[in-house]
Amino acid sequence: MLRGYATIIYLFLYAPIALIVLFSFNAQQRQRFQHFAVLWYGKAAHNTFVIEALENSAIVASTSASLATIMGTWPHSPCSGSKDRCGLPSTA
Amino acid sequence: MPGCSSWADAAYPPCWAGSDFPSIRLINTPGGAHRHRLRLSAPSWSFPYSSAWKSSIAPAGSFRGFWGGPLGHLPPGHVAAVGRRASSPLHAGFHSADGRVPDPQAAGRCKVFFIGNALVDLFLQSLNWPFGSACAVALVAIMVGTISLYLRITRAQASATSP
Repeated sequence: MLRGYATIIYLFLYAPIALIVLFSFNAQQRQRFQHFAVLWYGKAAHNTFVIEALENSAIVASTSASLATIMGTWPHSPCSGSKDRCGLPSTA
Repeated sequence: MPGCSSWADAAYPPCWAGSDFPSIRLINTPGGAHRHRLRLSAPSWSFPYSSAWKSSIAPAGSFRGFWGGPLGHLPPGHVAAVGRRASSPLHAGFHSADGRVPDPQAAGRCKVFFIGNALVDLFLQSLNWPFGSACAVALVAIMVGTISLYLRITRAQASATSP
């Protein structure tokens, strides 16, 4: 019984993801799945809008991650040494 | 004109027969402007626009950025549109009387286009599921590759420093 519920829940969670992966190999744009093809990956790699959007996202993501890392691990930041100063409960 | 709630709507011929003026999307995104350029050869409908029509519809939210940008400098011409279904948003674009179309990059300058915007655009507006799926799967592959590379490097460093 529990195994059945778990199967249904996992299917509910992962079936859409599996469908997305399956659709990416569809040869046709608007028809039912007929046969496997990788042409959409080639089109994505050569699409200037997708590449530009990816570049924008990469720039923003890397910049924000770097800044967050620097600010979080800065030696003289308020949170370094004692967590009490940041209002966090001390684990010591 | 039963379906036309304003004089701006009246420029949309189906509203004369009672259809509502559809919401317009894609107009200030690079992808939307580009797709429109490709579809201009066979629009569903086309009508001339004038400065008065532009000023009457300009306060509408999605138009504001586009209007202040490239379209504001475009001389009077035609607006052409393609609607996929009656219920879908209208895909509209503008070209001047001398055939000029706003540059897609210029049209999109009011909005930074991220990969998330591209995916939403591909799935919901272009309805190009295979292309959107390929982009999404490629994005996941890039992330998984980066994370596995990081793990491999950190494991190698840890094994090198451990006695």
